[in-house]
Formats: sequence, structure tokens, C-alpha cells
Amino acid sequence: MDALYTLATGPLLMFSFAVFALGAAARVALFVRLARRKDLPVLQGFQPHWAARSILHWLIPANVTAKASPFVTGFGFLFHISFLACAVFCQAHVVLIDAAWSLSWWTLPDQAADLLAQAFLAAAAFFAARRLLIPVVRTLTTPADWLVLAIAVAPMLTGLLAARQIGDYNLMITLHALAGNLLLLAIPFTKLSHMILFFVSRAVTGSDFGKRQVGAW
Amino acid sequence: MPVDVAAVKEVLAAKQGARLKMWLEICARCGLCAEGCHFYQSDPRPEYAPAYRLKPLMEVIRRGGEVDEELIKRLCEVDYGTCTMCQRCTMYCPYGIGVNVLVRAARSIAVAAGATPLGLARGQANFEESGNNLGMSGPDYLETVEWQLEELQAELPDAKAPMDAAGARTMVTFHPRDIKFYPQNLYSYLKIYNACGEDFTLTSEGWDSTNLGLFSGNDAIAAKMSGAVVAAAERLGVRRVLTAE
Amino acid sequence: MGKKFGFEVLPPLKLWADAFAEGRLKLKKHFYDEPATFQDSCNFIRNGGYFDESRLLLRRVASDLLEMSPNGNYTYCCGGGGGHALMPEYKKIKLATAKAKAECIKATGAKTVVVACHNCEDAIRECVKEYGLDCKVELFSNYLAEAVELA
Repeated sequence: MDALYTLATGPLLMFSFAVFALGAAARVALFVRLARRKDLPVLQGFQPHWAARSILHWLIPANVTAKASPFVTGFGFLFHISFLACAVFCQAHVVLIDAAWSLSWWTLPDQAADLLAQAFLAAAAFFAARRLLIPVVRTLTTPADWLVLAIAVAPMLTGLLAARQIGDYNLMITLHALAGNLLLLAIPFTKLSHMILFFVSRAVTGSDFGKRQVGAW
Repeated sequence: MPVDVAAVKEVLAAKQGARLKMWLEICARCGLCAEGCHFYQSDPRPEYAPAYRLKPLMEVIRRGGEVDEELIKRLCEVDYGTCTMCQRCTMYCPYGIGVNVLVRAARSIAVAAGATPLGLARGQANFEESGNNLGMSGPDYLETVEWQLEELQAELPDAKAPMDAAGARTMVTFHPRDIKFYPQNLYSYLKIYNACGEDFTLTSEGWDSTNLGLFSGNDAIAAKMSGAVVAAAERLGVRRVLTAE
Repeated sequence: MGKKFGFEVLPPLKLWADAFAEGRLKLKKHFYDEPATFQDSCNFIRNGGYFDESRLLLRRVASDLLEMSPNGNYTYCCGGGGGHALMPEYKKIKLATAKAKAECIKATGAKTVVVACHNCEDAIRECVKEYGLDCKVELFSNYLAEAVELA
């Protein structure tokens, strides 16, 4: 178990980070390459100003969907913010990074991280419930949607259990490290690619509507 | 009806552009687009949600274009029957997914499979024959213009309806129904352009600026239809082209 | 499509609004008293961005212009777009799903629905008939042409 943990926080983690970073860059590069060959309207007359406005418009929960679907929007923001906050600012993570690269930054107090993890799990439960209970969402849901939800929940759940020392700590922290690797590896190849492609998609649509002087949506 | 699988595969390859691939991949199936769709808002059936329109298209891709009649029928029902390509859903999608682009791609597959809806097919055939989607003959068009101009001259004695006047500032085009079924519309257009002293011309060729090819998903005809208007505008050397209302 | 031409393509609505703003097109102020509303077409409003132009003209000729909710870019589709004008096989769905639009029109209390697109014209006529709304449908060009002030 210790060997597995060492691997998952050492060489495997380096590999996962590399796949994540290179994969993310490759997704954008491949999009532009394919657009050049088969989707020229995307690049012709691209409007960076409108693209930026469109991205900003949807990073702030004051858009039409926030009004039409306030609960989904609220839980959606909670889900993403709590996840990123825990991933980047959790003390244990920063300690690991400091040990590897001598880099460190501000960290979340443990109670705050605990609270954020709970909020994240509540939001995940909300989204799972929507997929099960709301007919239109249930009809639209595919196995891939459950898979990415599971990939996102796994590190958070194991992280919370480990931090609270519930169950076998060694097992839990190893599972947590493995789940984190899995998540990094999955981002470029699954729907989790929206971490990067959200910005590309919004830029494309924002530019398109900006071209026609319609608005920042 | 035999399905032309080879044609479907060809269109499928051409249509898998950067946006289509990205959007089919990242759509989170959250259902927020349903808020944007008048089909769903009028009758909340799950299959009226815009994201549902991706399903037949993804199935065609999953099968690598090996489609059968049943799948094409389902694709038509969803992608022709339950979408007006109005883009309202795009405004509700957090990713800004252009469902209309995906629906147009799905429709192109139906066209390749030989399943263009009859009404659209008929309009396209009319265009091929006569240059407008209602199949009006050239003389009928010119006569209707003359007739409405005479009517207008009773109200506005100096009214003109220049035909093929090279070098005019603005070329006016129509929906063929303005000529065939609702000549009153033509009267109104001529009245407005005469009243405001617009330097305009009508055109004897390429006067139908509607484009059924964009609706049906038939790119070749869409290009031909817009090409006819472009050719007329270039021939007359106008600076502006007014589309049909 | 995507190509650059030696000419500009614009919808009639844009030319009318420009001509009116420049003072070339004279329109009788508040020619219509009857409450009217406007179907913001996807072609010219949501995709064209000519919302302000449409209102400039409508406010001039109609004394009682009522807005649908939602309106402008966010208005519901008339139901006739995307080739639905020529697909009778889907007419039943089209009429059933015109309900949202019918409710919007009804809520305004307008007696005239002005439409700026031929697809909207047919679809809104069908919608008004199907849902028994007490209003008439007028094409924008005809609506304006009636109100033109001839020198």
C-alpha cells in the first residue's frame, strides 16, 4: 500500500500532470487545426473582444440561465468552485508540491476544506438526483455523464474520508491519490475536457454572435 | 427506400468539423437548453429538449455512417420535426453550444440518405427549374411587377420599378410568394422605396433570395441559391442587396 | 457564406430604419392606435441584431406598442423557421408547440401582431387561429407602407 501511495504521489503523479497539461494544450491546438481544415467560419473574422465578453458573461452567475434555473446555477458554481479550491489550496496538496518543486502558496484552513468538500458532495448529489428524477435530464443522460461524475466525486469523497480518518486511513489516502491521478488523466479525453473546451466553445459562440452585433451571450 | 450509405459516409466525414466534434463531446446533458426551446416550453416532453437532437446524429457517427432506414427516419423526426433552428437554446446553454449547427449537420445526413422532406425537395426542384422556389416563370414575374407598378402609380404618379438597372445603389430581392400569392407585398415594397427616393433596381434573374438549401441541409443547393443572387448583384454592379423580408 | 463580396447584404428592415433616421422615409406619427406587438424574427433580431431598428420604426407608427415577454433576442420562435413552413408532415407538432408563443401574444393584449418575416407571418397566423386569439397579423412592409407620408 505504501509503495502504491509513493508511486501515486510521485512518478505517476508527474506523468498524470504531464498528460493533463499536454493534453489540454493539444485539445486547443487540435481544435484550431481542424477548424482550419473543416470549419473556417470559426476562424474568419474572429472577434476576441466578443469571445472574452462571452466567457466573462458565463463565469458570472448573472446571465439568463442563472435567472431561469437558479438552483442548477447555484449548485453548479458551488460544485466547480469548491472543487478547484480544494484541489489548489488544500494544505496537504501544497505540502506535496512544496516537497517536489519547492513551490508553495496560501492554503485553506482544514475546517474550510472540510466544509467545501461537503458542499461539493451535496452539489454532486443534487446533480445525480437531477439525472435520476427529472424526466428530461434522465432521458438525455448517457453512461458517459455518470462516468465523469464518478471520476469527479471519487477524489473528493476519498479525500474527505481520509482527512476525517474515517475507515482505514492508509487505504483511503492511497485511493485518494489514485483517484486524483485518474481525474488528471481523464480530463483531456472525456467530457471533463470542458475544463478547457468551455472557454473555446464560449469564445466561438461569443465571437459568432458578436459578429452579428447581437449580444454577449 | 434504399439508403445511400456511401453518400452518408461522405457527408459525415465532411461535416465533422471542429465545432461539431467539440460540441458533441462536451454537451453535459444538463437539460438547461430545454428552458430555451419553444417546443419544450409548450409541451414538456423530454424528446423536445434541444440536446435530444444530438442523439440521432451521435448514433450515425457511432455507426460510422452505416445507417438504416429506421435510424434516418428517427433522425428526420427529431432534427426536422422538432427544431426550427432559431438558436434560442444556444442562449441558455452555459457552453453556448450551437444546436442549429448540429441540426443542420444531421439534416445534411438525411439529405445524403435521400430523405429530404417533400415540401423542401419540391421547392428545391422548383428552384432548379425556374430560379425561384415557387416555380414562377420569368414572364409571370415581370407582369406582376408591371401590374403592381401601375396600381402604385394611381397613388404615386412618378413611381418607378427599374428592372436590371445597372449601377443602381440597391438591388431588391423577394420571397417568391410576394409575387405569386401576395402582390400587395410587392406594392408595399415599391411604395416604400419610391417614397424614400432609394436608388434601387429589381432584377430579372436571381430575384428569389430565400434559401431552402439552408433549411434542408443541402449545401450544394444552398450554394447555388445564394450564388444566383450574388451573380445578379455582380452583373448589375450594385452596392447593396436587400434580402426578402 | 463566409465569402467577401463587393456588396453589402441587408434586410429591408435595416434600409427602412436608415431611410427613416435620415429623414428620407416619412412615416405618419402614431398612424395606428390599435395596440400592436411585434414578433422578433430569428433572422433579423436574434441573428441579425436589428432590434433597435425595428423599434425605431414601430414606435413611430404605432401609438400603443406592446412588448411580448420575453422579447427581442429572447423571444420564442414563431414556429415557422427551419423549413417548417414547407413541412406539412410536422404541422401537428408545430401547432401544439405554438402554445408558448400564443400565451405571449395573448398576454400583451395586442390586436395586431406585426411580423417581419414570411415564415413568421404564416406561423403566427396559424398560431393565432389555433389558439383563438383575437388579433390580426400584418407583414411589417404592409404595416409601414400604409403609414408612409407621401410628399
